[in-house]
Amino acid sequence: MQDQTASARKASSPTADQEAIQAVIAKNKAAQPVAQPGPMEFGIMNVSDVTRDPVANYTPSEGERLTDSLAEAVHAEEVGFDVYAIGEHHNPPFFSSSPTTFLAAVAAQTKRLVLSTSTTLITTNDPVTLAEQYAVLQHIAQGRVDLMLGRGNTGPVYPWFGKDIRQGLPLALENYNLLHRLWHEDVVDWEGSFRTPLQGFTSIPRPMDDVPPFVWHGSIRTPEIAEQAAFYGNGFFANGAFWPEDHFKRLVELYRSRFVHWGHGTAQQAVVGVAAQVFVRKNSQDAMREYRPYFNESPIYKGGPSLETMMAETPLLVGSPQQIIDRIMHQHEIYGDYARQMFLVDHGGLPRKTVMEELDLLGSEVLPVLRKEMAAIRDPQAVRTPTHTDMVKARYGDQEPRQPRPNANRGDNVTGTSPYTDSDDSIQVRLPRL
Amino acid sequence: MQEHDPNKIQHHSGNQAADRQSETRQYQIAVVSAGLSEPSTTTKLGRAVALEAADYLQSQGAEATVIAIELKDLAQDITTAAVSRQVSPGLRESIGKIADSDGVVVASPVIKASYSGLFKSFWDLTDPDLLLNMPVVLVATGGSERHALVPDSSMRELFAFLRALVAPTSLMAAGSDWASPSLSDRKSRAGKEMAAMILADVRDRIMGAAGAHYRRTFDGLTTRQEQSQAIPGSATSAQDPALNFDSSLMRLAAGGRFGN
Repeated sequence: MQDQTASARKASSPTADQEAIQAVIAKNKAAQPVAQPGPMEFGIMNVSDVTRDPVANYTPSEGERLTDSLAEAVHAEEVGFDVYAIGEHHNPPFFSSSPTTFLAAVAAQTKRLVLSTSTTLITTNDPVTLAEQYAVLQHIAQGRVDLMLGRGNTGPVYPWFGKDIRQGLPLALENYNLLHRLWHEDVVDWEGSFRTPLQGFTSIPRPMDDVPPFVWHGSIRTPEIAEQAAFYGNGFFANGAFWPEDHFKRLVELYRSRFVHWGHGTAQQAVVGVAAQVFVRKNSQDAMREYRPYFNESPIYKGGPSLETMMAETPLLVGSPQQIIDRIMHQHEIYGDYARQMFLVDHGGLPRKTVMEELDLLGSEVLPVLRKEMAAIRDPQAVRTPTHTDMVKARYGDQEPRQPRPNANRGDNVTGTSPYTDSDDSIQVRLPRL
Repeated sequence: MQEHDPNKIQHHSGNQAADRQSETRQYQIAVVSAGLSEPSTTTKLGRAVALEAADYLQSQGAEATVIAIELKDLAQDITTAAVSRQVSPGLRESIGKIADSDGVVVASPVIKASYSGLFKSFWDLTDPDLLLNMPVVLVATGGSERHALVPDSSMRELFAFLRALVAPTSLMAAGSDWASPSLSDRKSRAGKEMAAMILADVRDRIMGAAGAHYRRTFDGLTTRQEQSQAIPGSATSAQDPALNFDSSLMRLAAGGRFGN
């Protein structure tokens, strides 16, 4: 992939540009498809809000919400969920400023659960730090890691990290281009608009088996983000929660069509994820009665349309297990076969006990039925989210994966062109002038 | 002006020159009015301008339909949408009608020295692309002649921001103007200015020449022909006509370098 990117960058004339594009497409078409046919995944996502419980009139401490969330993540695996994702924020009333620390703790207490983010800020974080931290997490979790990139929706965060929100989109695009190279190339020479240049830089540790975590790109309305996801053959995530149900249809269609355009496979092989907010109880009357005070005081919903309107027009699912199942099946009518469905269950001050009960009910009565009903209507070619094993197989076939071993330190902590014992000495790197 | 004939194929806009040679050209003009009373002089004046435009289009051998969108009927939905992200189906449908129009007359009463809050709240909700290069006539009504500059000061700057093609003549009617023949003259002039822009395909020509240079978003409110009709999971909308994949940002998205 790095060769293709480089050639696309160098192209100057329209003809050369077209040739470079065609070369990228041909190379992608020749490559082994990463995503394999398989079932849908279901996961829990947590935006990490610390909100007053309006029924108990009790505001949990940040520490309480952190430990509660950790317990909820572990319980998500116990009841049968496939994925757990946590958001990233740098202001109160949220707690998740360091998602990799949190997810490492979840990794240590789970066996099977895939750990993800919702979302990781690709605008205000340095791509170098992201490459390093998520590679460590990937090793710790033995490959059970993917990450979802987003721009973030809190304006003041940009200046806090020395960035300009007006450059939010180019920042996100350029930062990911760099992150991609840091994970795919041992030694990177790089120059861009938003960060100090890199010369002869190696991001450590190299990803597990030299195969980076799977990446999702999340967006609410930006076609360039869908294009970037499609260009790299990455996943596209449509956060359905809080938005009108068909809002994301056009972006998802664009992503699928550009995924095909860039030669990564069919529209069915494009990896799409969707989210919904859920409040579930044994019967719908209890669900409505119990959830209404949380809805009325929610920082998101307060002052807007009624609970009933929001339930009708957005993927806010409040009801019995069967009602939740019906509405998720409706998501399939909107988006076609997709790879991952996330549920937001702990938002807006719901206490730990309630969230745990919801997880139990979702695990025992919703997931088994959804898995069965989705499988029955799913196209046999529809793909699952690529796992670490899938990506290792696509890259190495039956060969042993690469395990980079560093060369000896020359005494200056800079290993230059040949950082690893199997590095290609013929590659020349411009080292920084001191 | 003619009533809409359901048996005829309607193609409101888009560059469909081939079709237009073999069929009568059909146009739709929308009146978006923030008039408050029933009947409202604001709506009446807006509609009068639209009818002038329709008459002129008809005199040039085209067919024209005038539709009216009364914002007071949508007032609750507009308020709800202003404080949440929820655009009601009724509001969505009205915005869709504007998107499907070839010209728009926008009309507001003057309240506290400017267009009404209801009028502004409605335009606040619409997709930034909705009126992109759309022929538009500005209309205001008020209780005093002292408001005479409202269309050419407050309203014109709002529609400049929305990147509409605003007709040179705008209208303001206070009490005594209704007895003045010059109001009728200006009404006729403004209507014909808009009709002439529509007949000249100004919008399509500008979009054809410079369309790729506008930043576009997918707010999902603009219906128009840009909306994909693709089957879920298929890739039939392979190239979205509203998007330029050669823009510097799209090139950056595809692994390229910003600014190159």
